[in-house]
Amino acid sequence: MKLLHLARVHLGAMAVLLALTLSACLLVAGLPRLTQAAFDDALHEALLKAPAERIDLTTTMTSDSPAQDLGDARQFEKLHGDLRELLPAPLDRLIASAGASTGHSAAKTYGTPVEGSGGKRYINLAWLSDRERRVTWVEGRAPGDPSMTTWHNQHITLFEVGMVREAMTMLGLKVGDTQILGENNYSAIKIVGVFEAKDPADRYWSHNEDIRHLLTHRPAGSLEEELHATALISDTGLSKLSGRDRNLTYSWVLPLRPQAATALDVPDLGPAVMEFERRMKVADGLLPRQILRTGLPELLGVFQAGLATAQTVMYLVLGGLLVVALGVILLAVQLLVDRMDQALGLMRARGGALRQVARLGAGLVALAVVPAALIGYGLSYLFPGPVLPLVHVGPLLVVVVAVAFAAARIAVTHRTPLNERRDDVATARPSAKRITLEVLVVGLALAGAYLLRTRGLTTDVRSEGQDPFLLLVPLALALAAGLITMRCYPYPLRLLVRITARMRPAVPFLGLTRAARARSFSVLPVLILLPALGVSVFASVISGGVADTQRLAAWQSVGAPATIASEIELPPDVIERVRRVPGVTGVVPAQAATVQVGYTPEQAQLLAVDLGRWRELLGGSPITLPSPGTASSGIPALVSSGLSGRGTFEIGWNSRLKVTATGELDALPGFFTEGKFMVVPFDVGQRPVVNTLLVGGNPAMEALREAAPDTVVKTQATALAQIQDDPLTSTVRTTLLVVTIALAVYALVAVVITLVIGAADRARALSFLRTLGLSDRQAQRLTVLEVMPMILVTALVGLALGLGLPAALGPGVDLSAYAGGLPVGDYELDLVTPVALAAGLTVVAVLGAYAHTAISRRRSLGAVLRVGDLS
Amino acid sequence: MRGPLVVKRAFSEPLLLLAAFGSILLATTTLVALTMYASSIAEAGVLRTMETAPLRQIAVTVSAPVTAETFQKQDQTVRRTAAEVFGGVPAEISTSFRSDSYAMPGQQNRKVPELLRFGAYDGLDKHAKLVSGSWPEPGGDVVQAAIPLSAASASGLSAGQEISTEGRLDGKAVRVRITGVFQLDDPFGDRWAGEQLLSRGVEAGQFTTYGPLMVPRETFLSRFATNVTTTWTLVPGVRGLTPEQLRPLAASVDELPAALKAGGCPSCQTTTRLAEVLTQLDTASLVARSTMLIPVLQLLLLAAYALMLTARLLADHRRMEVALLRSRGAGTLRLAGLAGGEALLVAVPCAVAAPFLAPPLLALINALPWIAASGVRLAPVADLGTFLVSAGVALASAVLLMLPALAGARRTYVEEQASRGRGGGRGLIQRAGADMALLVVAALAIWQLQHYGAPVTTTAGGGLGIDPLIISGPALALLTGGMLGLRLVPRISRLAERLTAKRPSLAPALGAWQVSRRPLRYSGPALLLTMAIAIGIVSMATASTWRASQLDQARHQAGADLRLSGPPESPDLGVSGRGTAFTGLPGVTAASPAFRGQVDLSGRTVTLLGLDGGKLEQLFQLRPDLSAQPVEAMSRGLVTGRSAATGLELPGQPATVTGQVRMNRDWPLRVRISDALGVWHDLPVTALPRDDDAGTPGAPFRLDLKTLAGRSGRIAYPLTVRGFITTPPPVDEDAVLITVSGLAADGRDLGAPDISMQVEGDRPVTRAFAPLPEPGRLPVVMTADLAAANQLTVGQPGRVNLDRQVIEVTLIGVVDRMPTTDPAQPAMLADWATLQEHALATGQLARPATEWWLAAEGGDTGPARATLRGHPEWNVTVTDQRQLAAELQDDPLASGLQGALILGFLAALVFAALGFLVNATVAARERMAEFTILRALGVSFRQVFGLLAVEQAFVVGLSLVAGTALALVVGNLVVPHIVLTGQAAAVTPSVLLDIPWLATAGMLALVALVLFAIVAGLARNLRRQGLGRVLRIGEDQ
Repeated sequence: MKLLHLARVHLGAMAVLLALTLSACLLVAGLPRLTQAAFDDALHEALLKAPAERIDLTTTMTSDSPAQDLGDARQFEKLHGDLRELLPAPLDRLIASAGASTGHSAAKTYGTPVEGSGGKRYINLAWLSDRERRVTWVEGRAPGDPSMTTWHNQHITLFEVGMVREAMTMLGLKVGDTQILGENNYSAIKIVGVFEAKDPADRYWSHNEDIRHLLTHRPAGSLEEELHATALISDTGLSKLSGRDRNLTYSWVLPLRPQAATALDVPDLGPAVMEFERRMKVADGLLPRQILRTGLPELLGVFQAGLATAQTVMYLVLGGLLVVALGVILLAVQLLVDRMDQALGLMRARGGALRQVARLGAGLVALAVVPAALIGYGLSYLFPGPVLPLVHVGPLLVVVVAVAFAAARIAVTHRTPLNERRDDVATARPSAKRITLEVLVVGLALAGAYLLRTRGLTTDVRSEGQDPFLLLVPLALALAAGLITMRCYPYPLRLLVRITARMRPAVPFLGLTRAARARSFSVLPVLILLPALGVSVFASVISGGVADTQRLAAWQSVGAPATIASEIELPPDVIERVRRVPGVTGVVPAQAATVQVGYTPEQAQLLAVDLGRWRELLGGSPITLPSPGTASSGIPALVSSGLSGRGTFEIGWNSRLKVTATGELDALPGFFTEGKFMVVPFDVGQRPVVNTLLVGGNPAMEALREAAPDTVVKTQATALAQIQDDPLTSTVRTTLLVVTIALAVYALVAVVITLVIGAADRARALSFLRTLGLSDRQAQRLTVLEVMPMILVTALVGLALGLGLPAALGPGVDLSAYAGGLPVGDYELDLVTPVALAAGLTVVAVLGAYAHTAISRRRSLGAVLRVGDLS
Repeated sequence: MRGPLVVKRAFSEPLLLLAAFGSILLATTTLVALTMYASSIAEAGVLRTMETAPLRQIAVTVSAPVTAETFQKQDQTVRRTAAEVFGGVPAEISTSFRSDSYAMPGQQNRKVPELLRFGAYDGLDKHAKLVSGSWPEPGGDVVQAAIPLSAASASGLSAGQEISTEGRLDGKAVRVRITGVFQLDDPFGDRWAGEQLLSRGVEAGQFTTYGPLMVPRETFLSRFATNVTTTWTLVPGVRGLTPEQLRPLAASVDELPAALKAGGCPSCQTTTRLAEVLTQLDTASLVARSTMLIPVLQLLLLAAYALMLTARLLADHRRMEVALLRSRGAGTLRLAGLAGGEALLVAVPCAVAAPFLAPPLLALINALPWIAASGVRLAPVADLGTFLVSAGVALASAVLLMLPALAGARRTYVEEQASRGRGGGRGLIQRAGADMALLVVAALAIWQLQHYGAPVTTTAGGGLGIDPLIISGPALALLTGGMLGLRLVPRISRLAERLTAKRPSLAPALGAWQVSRRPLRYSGPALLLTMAIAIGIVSMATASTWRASQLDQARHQAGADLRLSGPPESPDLGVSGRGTAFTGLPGVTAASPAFRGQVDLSGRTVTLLGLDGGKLEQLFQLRPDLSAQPVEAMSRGLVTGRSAATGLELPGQPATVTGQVRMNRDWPLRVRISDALGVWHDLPVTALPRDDDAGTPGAPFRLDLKTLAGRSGRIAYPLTVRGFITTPPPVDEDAVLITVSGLAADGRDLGAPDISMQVEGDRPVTRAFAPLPEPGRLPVVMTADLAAANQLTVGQPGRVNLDRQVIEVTLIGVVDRMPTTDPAQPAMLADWATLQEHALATGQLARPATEWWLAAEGGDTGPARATLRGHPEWNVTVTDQRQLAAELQDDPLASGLQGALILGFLAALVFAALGFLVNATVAARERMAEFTILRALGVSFRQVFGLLAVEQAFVVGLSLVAGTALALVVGNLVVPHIVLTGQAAAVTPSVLLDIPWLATAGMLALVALVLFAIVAGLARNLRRQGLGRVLRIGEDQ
């Protein structure tokens, strides 16, 4: 009863506490789920992007003799089943069943030459367990049973086969043709059908590229290309295929279901693959002879490296958020407890046990906090993503801290009954213990910052694990800044007070004196406001830095708003078409080529382009182009470091040209980043062969592709989108944004609560002054002057901290994975967001002060003054 | 007036000032010595490594094909580029040439003639001496040449001879006069590593080549430079490198190939390991400096504290005087000036003296036997840096000395009077909780040390760097531990007070009461002593752990007393001769052939070690904590897989084995023979042309057993024929039928049963004379990771896939780390004989004896090594455990830590003794009046001594116990992590903390003795003071 009554009395404070707890629990429980879900998405994308051949588990086996041949499709099925049974637990869940997804088995010969082709043409034979589901016969029929034929007085097998159109055209074959295969153990094939893939986009074909396409291969030192085609045979054909005659391999594909994998599984999958291989090696029957081929562990390793960095950043900002949220909640608890102070003091004076009083206060806080936490926790299930331990622990932590703080604070305040305290008398000297603690925090923060800079936050994360100390450093720095501010800001204030004391108006003196004396007022708000502002600004600066670097990376990878590259010469009409594409403001032709350096086998990449015109296309982009320079003799060329130091030398490009190095380049945006390359003026060759276009403006990629078919079109916009669309990158950015906003809101709330906490005290003081003749205007000014110093100083320091943190920690936090591989540095001071944040805070504080006087004015002077008498 | 006042004031307290002087002098001297030591040992280490580095590690070789025309240009390019790249480090460049082949005189027309080569080498006369004749001169029609002695004796050419020869490629005739015969100073040294022909004189291959006939460079260029390969060997002058130059030089060496190519020698090929060596050395010197910093920091803290203690005593003593000065109008500034002047008076002489005292101190340290053993002679001299260090330390000391004087300077005379005698229970540090704050920092530092595992960490830049937080961890931990220990003083003294109060004797009660009433007065020296003792024990533990770890590493790397590796078969000793030669080495008590190879075990690459399981106890040195199973249990378990029967033993010492073999077609057949030492080897069975004698059932064959022993080896008889092996026929061919009969050794019939085999299928076929072991249940010992990966538990059978065959194994033991193997790779140990039987049963090749593990009598491998050195033709690489340990321990970079530890340890003890002495003296003097009154009341001198002894025993006893406990805690947390390899990597096997208990106890006893001697001395001093005189002192005041 008592509890409910109290709750009704302090409804406002209770509501604030409730709202704060709810939002905090929602954020603390929801954000990790969101990020984890994003990590899962990133994993799915990484797995889906990789060819199926790389992520599926493929086992292969070769046959050398008839005894090892598998002639029956059922044998394949049985072995597939055996393999599946060996899968260890975490893999078992992720592997689809044999017939599903890309799972199948196959038998293929390799390096099967066509008789008499001199080792230049090969037709391999392949059998696929699920070819009926995968291919359609567009001409002729599906291959049937093999038969025997006679060739050069030998009885040889005649396989009926089907091939793709592409291979038949290239090899000059048509349906009905017969070919002899082999160089000593001959067999014959007869082409009976032409097939096409039912779904060419299916990931399945990554395992069987050789069947769908003709492969060409140029052996080292050879001038002619070898052509490798693969023909499909029937089930009965399989029984005639023997490892004695051909290089024959069997393979089984255990398909991985990318969608079933979660980021939490990742650490277990590598060992699981090894365990699968081990089980395979010691199993009975044919399994030990099989070899496992998969790129899964390497792929996961790369993914894990990126994930570790993402997690570090997440820990950093989420930890900051949690701490600030807790701080604001504590501030609200303090508000509530202060409001109850008199009631509880009375209880205590009338004989209430300390335990009883504390229980009542804590109960009231719990009444607000527990339901809010439950609702927040419940709402967090609306977010997608797996349930991490943090989801449960976060809200619980909030509740425990809030209730424990309330109980402890009440217990400390009401330790002795009727202990009259006055807060408005001059502040006491801080205790030695407190100074020690503060020195410790500041010292650790500074040492930590130094270590973070030298060691780097993500340097050894994969081998050593996260270093919690380093993770806490940014927060500790914020705390240290807060402590220093708190210790130092009264000094200039006192100076001001001294000056104002000699001035005629009383208001500045009174206001500033009250500000300088305020003690309980300053600690918690400063400690909350500062980290909130600091981390918020830090997050916005980092996120801005990442965005800028992403833009730079996109520009560097393309080199112009758009580029078009072709293997063959681009005729003038194509160039004209490109020029007329909507959005195109300019087109600069260029020639890209590989040239011979001197008379040696050394080769270099060359780009012939008018750098001046190119530069005109780049208006407003973050990349810069070198200037061409002039040479007294020969063609002026900018060369890479690999070619520098040679002075004037000859190159072989269409004709022999003499070039003079006029400068050195590390990279040329959009074209070269390493190796040997040079840039020469456009019109140096005998006749310009334009095969590359640099396009200015803002054209659509599709339009360009249409205008210049059969070319490679790159635009800066798509490159940027590619970098930004990476799930890990977008998660990091979204989280940074959410945290920036949340922290800004918390900072505002902290300011408001601070105002409200001091409201009663201030109202009384104002009432006293009003009896002495203080006007309303003066009261407003006095309130503003009392509140402003702390808010202003804190806001400024918070701003400075937020802006300084990236520079201080810059080398320690490697965010290059989210910025297209470029190191994120040189954080530009984009002051708009941070200044807006700080200004907003100040405005709210001032408005709050005005509102406060407006409210207190409505109360009658007598009533306010008499409030004190009753207590 | 100020000067004299300062001096007068100073000399009014001669004892305390002397103590302060002593402390500062000690602090400056030891710290200067330590910095000198640290820098000079790093330099000495680098120098020594570079001096002893084999030439092949530091030389840069550039080779390019040259002709007479192109040589000049390329030579210039190489020299110019080298000069540019190596910058300030001069490089010694030598060029060597090798000509094409020439025919030996008189053999020009043979199809396969013996060959001659010509060569030239810059400065050959510096590295070789003439045996006869003279060095060749350039010019003239007849080419002058010198010949190596070995080539001369092999080819029969001699000095003074004139020959004519003809180029094999160009057919040009050359007339050569041999002017001299020379011998290289060190033919098998590193310098000639790439010059096989020059060091041996003969090269035997398809052609036999003699030479090279060395001609002057001019002659070579004009006559023989026909697009032949020239090698420039650049030896940078790395002998004088300083640690700072290492990394830049490594970077420039890396640039050399590109610089050469760009500089005009595109066909130059550069090979060197110099950059790698330099980088490694740089890391090693960083590690050395970082570990050395740990004792330095400890000492720094201790020195600071000792000084503060003295300063506090001085300030306490002066409190009334300062208050008086103050009441008479002295300002804070003036007081500070007085105190500062006094401090400087003491500190300045120390700053000047320390740099001169440090070198003799270091010389003393260097004279210690185990440091002297490393062979590094340090001759540090006082330079500007040392003066700066000295001045800095002295200045800091002066400030420390001044601070307590200032702290109390603002109190008034009355306040001073009032606070006199009121010894608070807790000092400022405890009241402020500073010890708790320190605890947080120390715990953080220690935790970080455990997290990163070393005081050097990877930096964001990718390199290694000294980590300031981690490096200060041990010192902070000691300080914190000591301060926390102080919290015990009041509690224990109160307890003691309660205990002694009930006893009849007076002295203990009075003593306990005194301590309990004024705990602060005793906590100062107690903390100092605690820290000193802890530093002492931690230093001793670090040094002894370090030495133990080096021995462990040597034992682990060698595996046995002596391990010989090399090709399993050599022309000199054959296959079987190696065993007899090695087991016959002097002092060898046990030996086993060993197989080491990479095998594929269930999909991962594993080192397989095959070793005679029965001799494991004598040979296999495994640190007991690395395995839950003792070595003897492993030994017993490993041999259980052997089969009882062996094979057909050949009686006596036969030289041949003969017999008949009948086959339905010609098919390769091998016979496997093992010798008494366990070496198994296959010999081919080739049928001789069949006699027409119809009596024999098949074609005769003859095995020449002597080939097993090479040119000079002895076979380890008796030999055993294990079985016959043959490979399977192609799939579609018919089975091969083989019968072997009538086996005889040296013509004596062996009475062996006929062996017939039908060869078919796809596996090799084996027939043995003894029943073959079932291919299964191979007992093995595995490393823990391997056993876990294969899901095997000790004693349980399991299956593994060994080299693509599924076999059954029984896990006999699990070791954390397998001796002699790379810790990064899992390893497996099996019994040698069992492995061979398995190989025979499955028709695999016999495992060759790639190594021999030897145990020496008493571990003394010296004689055996001496013998091995005398036989370079045996072609073995020796891994000697003792030598390895000596190498590890003698590296100045690694062992430098020990000197620093000893220095720190001694300084700590002296500090402690000095502090204690001063404190006890001052305390005794202050309380002289008290004692005298006691004595006047009838307390005997013995009782007064007892009282003093009880009081000080508190300090001493508490510090000794707390110091030891603290050292144990800190040692356990820290020491295993600061013992690192030179490359800042963790040590294999892991470090075990080794506290030398005997030495520790000795040190504690010694310290206690010294301290009680001080107390006794004080008491004696008291006794000498006349009662009356002391009692009257008070009246004067």
